[in-house]
This record gives sequence, C-alpha cells and structure tokens, in this order.
Amino acid sequence: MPENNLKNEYKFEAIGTGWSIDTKDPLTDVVKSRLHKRIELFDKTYSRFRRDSLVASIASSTYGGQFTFPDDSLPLFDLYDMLHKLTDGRVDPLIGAELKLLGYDSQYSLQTDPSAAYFNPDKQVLDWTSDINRQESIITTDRPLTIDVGAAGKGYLVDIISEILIDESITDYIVDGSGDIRNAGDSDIIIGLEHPTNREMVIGTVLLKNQAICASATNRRKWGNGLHHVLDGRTGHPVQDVIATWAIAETALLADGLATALFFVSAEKLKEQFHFSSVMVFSDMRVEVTDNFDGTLFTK
Amino acid sequence: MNKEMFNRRQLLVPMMAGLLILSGCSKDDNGPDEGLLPVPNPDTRTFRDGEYSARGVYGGAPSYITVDVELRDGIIMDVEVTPMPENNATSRDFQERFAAAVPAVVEGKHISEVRVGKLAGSSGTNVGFNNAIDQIKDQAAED
Repeated sequence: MPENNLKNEYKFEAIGTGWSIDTKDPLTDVVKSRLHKRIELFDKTYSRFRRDSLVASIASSTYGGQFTFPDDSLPLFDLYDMLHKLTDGRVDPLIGAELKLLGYDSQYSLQTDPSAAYFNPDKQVLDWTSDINRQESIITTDRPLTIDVGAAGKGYLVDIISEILIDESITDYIVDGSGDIRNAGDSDIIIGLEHPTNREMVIGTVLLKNQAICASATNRRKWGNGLHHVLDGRTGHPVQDVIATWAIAETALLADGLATALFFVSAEKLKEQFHFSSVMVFSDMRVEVTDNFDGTLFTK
Repeated sequence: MNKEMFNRRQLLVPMMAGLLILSGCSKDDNGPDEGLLPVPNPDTRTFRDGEYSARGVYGGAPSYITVDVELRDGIIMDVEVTPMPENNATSRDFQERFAAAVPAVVEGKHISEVRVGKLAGSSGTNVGFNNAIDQIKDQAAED
C-alpha cells in the first residue's frame, strides 16, 4: 500500500523469508540478477541452515581450523564485538550451539536436547571473546563452533542490497526484509509497529525517511514452554521479560543489532556508543521509548 | 481538587507499589515517612469518581512531585506524574527516572484503523520455521 511514488514492488524470497524492494521504475533483469548473486553469496557464507555454507563447515570441523570470511564480515563482526561488550556477553554469535540444542537447528526439528544450557544451570556457555579467535576476517577455531548471525545478519543484508541499488543509480527505494526496512531518497513511508501478539494490530507508527528500522519479537518464533529464538548469550535462556523491540538507525545493520541488544540492556546503555531511537515492549505490555523516538504509540 | 484523599497512601499503593524507584514520595502528615508500603489496615471506604491531584513531598530540600489521578468506581484509571520544575540536579534526575518508570501500557489498534505503509514486526516470518510448525501440528493431529 505505497503512498509514495515507489510504485514498483519487486517481491522475492531470500534467507528464509519474504522481501520487497520498492522503486520508482521496475528493476531491470541485470539488477535483479546482481542482487540474487550477492544474496546467494551472503547466504553461502553466513547461513547455518545449509550444509555448504562457511558457517556450516566451521560447525562441523572436528578439530577446528582457520577460516577466512569475505570482507563484508568486518562491519558485522565489529558490531558484534561492540554489542557483546555493551551487553556483557548477552549478544553473542556463538549462541548458535544453544539455539540448536533447544531445537532451532538447521532442520527446524524444534526438539530440545537435555544438554542445553537452559536445562543445565552449571553448563559453561561459549563466549565470542574467549572461545574463538578472530583477526579481522580470519576466524580460528579449535573445535566445532556454531556461529549464528541472526542478531544482525538480516539487517546487514538489507544494507548490502541498498548499496547495490545506489551503485546502480537507484537512489529512491525501500528495501523491506520482512520487518527490517531501509528507506532512501525523497520518499518516506509510515511504518506500523506490529503488535507483538496480534499481527492484525499495530501498537504505534513511525515515519521512516532516509533511515532503517528493524523489529524483533519473541512471540512469533516460539515452540514449547517458554522457548523462542532470542537467547541470552550468557545463559542460553530465552528472554522472558522483553517481548518486542524496534530500533531506528542510519543503517539496518545497526538497527538490527540494536533491536536484539535491547532485549538485554536498556537504550541508555546502548546510547553510550550508538545514535538511534527505539521502542521496547515488555511482557505486561508496558512500553519504554527513547526521548528521540519520533513516532506515535497507542498507549492506554 | 481533593488533597485530603491523597494524604491517605492507600489509594496510591495498588498502582504505585510495584513501580516506584523512589521511596517516600508522599508524606503522611500523621506519621513518619515509611515510603509506600502495603498498609496493614486498608481503607475500605468508597471514593467519589473524579480527577484528583496531589503533591508528594519528600526529602530534606524538600522536593516534590505532582501526581494526577483519574478515579472511577474506586479504581485508578490513569496516572500522570510531573516532576518538580526546578530542583537540584540529583533530585531532578531521580524524578525524571521515576516519571519514566510509571508505565505507559500500549494497546493495539487494528491496521484498518491506522494509516500504515509497511509493517515492522517479526511476523514476516521464517518460512522454514513455519513449515516445521505446520508439520508438527499435522503429526500431533494424527496421533
């Protein structure tokens, strides 16, 4: 339902979810092809859901090894380093192992394994800063480790796609990776903040212009008692008190990473390092917003 | 305005007890400042509907906050807390944090009632995950 002049919507599926790229003129086949090639490259590096990815080979190498990621990994891993520090380790790409043990594995078995940290309070959960060695884009491991970039990966792909569009001289666009949205150019768009438990409702709106917004919620991907996909990197426990977050920042990488970090720390803490605005909803439907949030919330 | 009512902390307790990070927001003239704790002998009178405003005084300066409340059928329907306009920095910081801590609770509006271009939420969903859930549902149905 575009109200701006970006009437051409190119819809496709990528990294397991639906995407839409809205532009003034339809994308050419050349541009589409370039986008899909780049997406495939991204998926082949970072997806833990396919056996032929770099991440999968790191997860299955019994004695570890040295793995070189592409240059695009630098902004992603650098952000993870910062978020890991700001959240005292609660945002951690090595949470992949615990996600798998709770059932969010590459087969989506959704069966829990009793050795998960969630069931074993004394279990030592892996740590990004001590259990893996990173020098720029080279990662060295000494045992199988599952890297999960879900906290910021989709946002990053939104940025990568946006950069291709700009490189192709498409300066007015909206890239929507299912709730992780980036806008550029003269157009703007009203974003509805989806109600965490009722997808036909919104709890507020915000105007997006030349920025990115990323949303994160725990109620959609859940299976079993209190199990969902946002795990605390220190304990392997699914977060219970925060149920939805939105962050608005200059890039979708940042917005996505911050939306995840907000499950674990307050916006004030993150504002020590980053410029953004945000909304958080707790399980009792209380909401917390930053002073600079420019939108509207429907409060009682 | 009925200030007397607000000298009785009982009315504020149900709403505020879980939320305060300040102690002693409102002083009872009749006794020492105990902070807002559940009272052993709750007031069982009925209260008139209406809007009430009270000033909670605390601290040595003293500082104060203004609390505006709407009362209906004996239930607090709405609470608004306003910090003191001029004060020393520390106290004001606490007041502002307190004001932020009084919860705003969000409710939903149907998307048909609101002008929205796109939705940001995570129902955009993960195809693989949803397929898995569907399969499990199918299996569960057969058992």
